[in-house]
Amino acid sequence: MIIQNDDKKRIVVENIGKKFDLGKQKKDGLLGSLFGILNRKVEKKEFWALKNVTLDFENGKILGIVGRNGSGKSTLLRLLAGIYLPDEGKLEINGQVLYLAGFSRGLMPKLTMRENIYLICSLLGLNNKEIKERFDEIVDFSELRDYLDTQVFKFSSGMTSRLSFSATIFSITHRQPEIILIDEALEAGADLTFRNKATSKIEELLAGGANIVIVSHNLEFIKKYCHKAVWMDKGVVKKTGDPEEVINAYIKNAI
Amino acid sequence: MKFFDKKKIQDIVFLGFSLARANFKLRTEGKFLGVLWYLLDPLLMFLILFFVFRKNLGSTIEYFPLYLIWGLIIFNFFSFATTQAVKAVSGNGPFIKSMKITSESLVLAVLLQTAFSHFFELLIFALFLITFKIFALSMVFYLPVFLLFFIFILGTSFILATLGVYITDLSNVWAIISRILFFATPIFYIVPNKILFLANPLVVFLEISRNLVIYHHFPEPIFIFLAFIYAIIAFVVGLFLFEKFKTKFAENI
Repeated sequence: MIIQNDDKKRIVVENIGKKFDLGKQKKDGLLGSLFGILNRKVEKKEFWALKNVTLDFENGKILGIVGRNGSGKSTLLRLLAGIYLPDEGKLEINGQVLYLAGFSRGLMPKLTMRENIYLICSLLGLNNKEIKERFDEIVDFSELRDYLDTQVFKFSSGMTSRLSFSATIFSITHRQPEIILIDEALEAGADLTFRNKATSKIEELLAGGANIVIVSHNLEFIKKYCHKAVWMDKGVVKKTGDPEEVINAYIKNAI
Repeated sequence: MKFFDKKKIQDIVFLGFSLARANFKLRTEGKFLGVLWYLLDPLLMFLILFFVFRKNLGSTIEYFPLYLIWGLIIFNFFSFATTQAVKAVSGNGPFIKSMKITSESLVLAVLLQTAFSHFFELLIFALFLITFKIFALSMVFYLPVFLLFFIFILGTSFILATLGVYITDLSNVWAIISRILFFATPIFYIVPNKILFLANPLVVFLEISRNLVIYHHFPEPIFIFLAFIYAIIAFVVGLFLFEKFKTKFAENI
């Protein structure tokens, strides 16, 4: 549990915008540039993936973001994670950030399960000692102890997702980040028994007092767990407020 | 300054090691014999060059086989590491976009992975020294040179990784430059007594280490001075470039 002793906002987002250059679609490389004089110049095209986005993040609350593909949800999350830098506006992050986009990222099929656990956990910022501490919990939770030294490409897809889910969730609980950003990653994709276990683990995480921002197309999930929801469309915030209302408006617009 | 945040550097180094270990295992397929693949290429090069130049240079250069093989070991370390460094960032697009990963670790991982295979080559070389009845413990003199060389390669890798994001065909360009460097470095021929050769950093590192390890000669001060200069310049420029551009990596790959 994170103690909230300061009233400093962990996330401040004011009028931020992010643009991408689309003009030169494929970079020519050195050889291409040498012959570039022969080509006519491609005009520079800009695309604002986000424009004038202002959001109020309350400490310890869960915010859900919905919207169509390409509405700027993931871009916003990457800005919060520090992967992209905003081109305008004010963005402040106070605290440790953990960014999750898909549980099976970082998994290497040719390595064994043991090696993969070490790899995932270190990608999520744990050091050797911390991984050793958590190792047994991860293996027990995944119920895959018999396959520790099996290469992961021999796993069924359910086993793979059990493995990556377990390693990821225990890394998060170990690090206890103040800010967790989740991009379409809360599907355990396994059988019912495991899914129930996973759900209770996720609920534990959601109740942990971290600032959580979730991008998801699972509207029921957002309705159930988020304190607030945001509907984004074409890079701007369309509506923000109570999850039920926001999602209803979003659904109405989609039909 | 953020550069000297101790915890951050520890994290970068640890992640670099984890990635390097994972990649190393991937390449060797987790089997001990897989390591042989690392040695096959230098060995083949050695055999070819040895039989071609044995007649001419073999008689003028003392311990020609050792001279040659050491040259290959040093050059390969540089060449393998930098060739992969070009793709260290640009080849890991999905990774950088979907995880908040310290991109320095990716570059470091490439170098560490090459360093693993470098050590295997050094072990084999120690066996060669013993067969030629040369005091094999002289290998320890290589350690300080190795550290400087490592810093030099790390700096160069940072530069190449940064440029690799913006210049898509850099790997082709670098392959050609590597080939030129191979012939511009006295790997299989005698070091010409020309100042110009000292402009090639590889000559400096190669000469210092080869003299220490095989001939037990202490290098001239100018060589040591240049080794420091090259290492520091490469590292400072590399780190500066990398840190300056790294926030733009994710949207350019």
